[in-house]
Amino acid sequence: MFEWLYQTVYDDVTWFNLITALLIFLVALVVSKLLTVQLRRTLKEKMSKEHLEMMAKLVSYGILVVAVLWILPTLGIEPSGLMVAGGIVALALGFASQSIIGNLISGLFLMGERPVKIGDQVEIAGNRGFVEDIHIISTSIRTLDGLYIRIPNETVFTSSIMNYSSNKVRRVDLVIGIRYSDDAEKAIQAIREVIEAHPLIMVNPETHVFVDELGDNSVDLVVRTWTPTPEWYTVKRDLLWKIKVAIEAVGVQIPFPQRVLWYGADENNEEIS
Amino acid sequence: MLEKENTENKPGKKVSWHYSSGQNNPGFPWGPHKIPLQMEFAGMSLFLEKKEGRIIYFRQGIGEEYSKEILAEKGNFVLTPVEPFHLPVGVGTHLLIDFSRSVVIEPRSSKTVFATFPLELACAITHKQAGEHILDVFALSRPKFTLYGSIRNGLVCKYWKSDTYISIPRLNPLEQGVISINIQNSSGRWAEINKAVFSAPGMKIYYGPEIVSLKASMKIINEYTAETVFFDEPLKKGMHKALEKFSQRFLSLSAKTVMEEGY
Repeated sequence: MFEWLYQTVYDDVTWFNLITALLIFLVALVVSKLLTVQLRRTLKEKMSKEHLEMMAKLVSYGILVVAVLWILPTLGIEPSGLMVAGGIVALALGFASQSIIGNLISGLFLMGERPVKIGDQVEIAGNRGFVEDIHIISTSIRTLDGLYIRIPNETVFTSSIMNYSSNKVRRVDLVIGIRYSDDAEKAIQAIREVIEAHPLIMVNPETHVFVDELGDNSVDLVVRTWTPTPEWYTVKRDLLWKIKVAIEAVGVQIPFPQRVLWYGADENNEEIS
Repeated sequence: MLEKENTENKPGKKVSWHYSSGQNNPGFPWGPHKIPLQMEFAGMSLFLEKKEGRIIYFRQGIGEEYSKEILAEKGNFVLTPVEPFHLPVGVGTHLLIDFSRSVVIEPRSSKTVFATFPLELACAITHKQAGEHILDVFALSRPKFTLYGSIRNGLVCKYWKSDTYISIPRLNPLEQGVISINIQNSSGRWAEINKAVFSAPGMKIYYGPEIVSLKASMKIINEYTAETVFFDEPLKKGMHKALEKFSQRFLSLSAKTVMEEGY
């Protein structure tokens, strides 16, 4: 009944060998999937997402590579022979698929150098967003408006990368214009009180609030304050309005642009407008 | 409603509170309580009431309101101090205590000083098999953060300014805890200490009716480096261990902190 299993398909390889190889590969596939799921579940809170993903990929690919090496003799292919042939094939493939190899090698370098991590907010080749995943060939980004962008690793590797998340703290810069008739010291004091009361503004590095410019329409106060990097957007969004309310509460106003016109012919130089 | 003996935030005074059944209880309301329950302290009101087979949790005060519906027939309520790293969640994994007056310690000596640390309060519901489930975390003190070390590799720390004491100070145990720090100067130089940084996962908080405590040590290694660690011990006999919510989430972090950027 099962005699067909022992019929040769090519060389000495029988149907039995082929099915065995297929089963081993499928089992390895299932084991690698289960193991990576289990790894992610177990180490989710004990490792950073980036390290965990890298480990999961290593385990997954490792199991598959071992499985392939194991089934090669069953399929009548000697791994030692492959090594010689592999060099020639790799050379040919390298010429034939330069961009893929370029992306692959860039991917390996990126994994070593790690200029970006999964979850970082970055700007790569003009694309700004959060790193979703770093694959061996490409890096995927979710833009701030929720779009998916796949960037080849060669582009990532050769582009300037701005990583908004790599440092522990990030500065929030604000410019607040007040009237020339207002007391800047009073405004600065009110701003300092807002800064002091805000839980997400760091004690160190310290906040600087000072008169930066005597502008055309206003005295410009600059606020340079620091916040934990993940909270930067929250603070930026929150702070400006709180400052506006606080300085108005002490009688300081934010002026509208204005222009005073003088007519040269007017003997008394009276202000017209 | 509740009968309050103290005026808010006065250290050393006891808060009087009662179950809604009217049973009076002395001391601060840490630990397990039966539901239904009402509590008032430091401008904060907590309510837990049973309603049509469910439990309603409601907190009000200090400008905020929070409520939860609990689908459970049974369960006790627990009020416990927790590590001060939940408000806001995920910001900082270390506590920096900034001493308002520097502590100078002679070479090759060991002394113990007391300081304060900020508290957060957790409200939990307990189940015989499943243990505790945190319903809510709040604080009576205002959180603030600071950076210890460089912008690139430093530690984002919960910031707390504290006086130092030679004996256990009397404080409002709902707002501040007492930390005993054994300072060991193993170097051959005088050491001047302005701050101490502690890793949150090692925090082992204990509470009693009138005190919440931590025990820690700070080993001065050289002019710029010190090492701090918490001990899993109460400050006084008869204290209970607080719920460890934060520590369990960050098991990968070391309980020891090496302060390489000065102290």
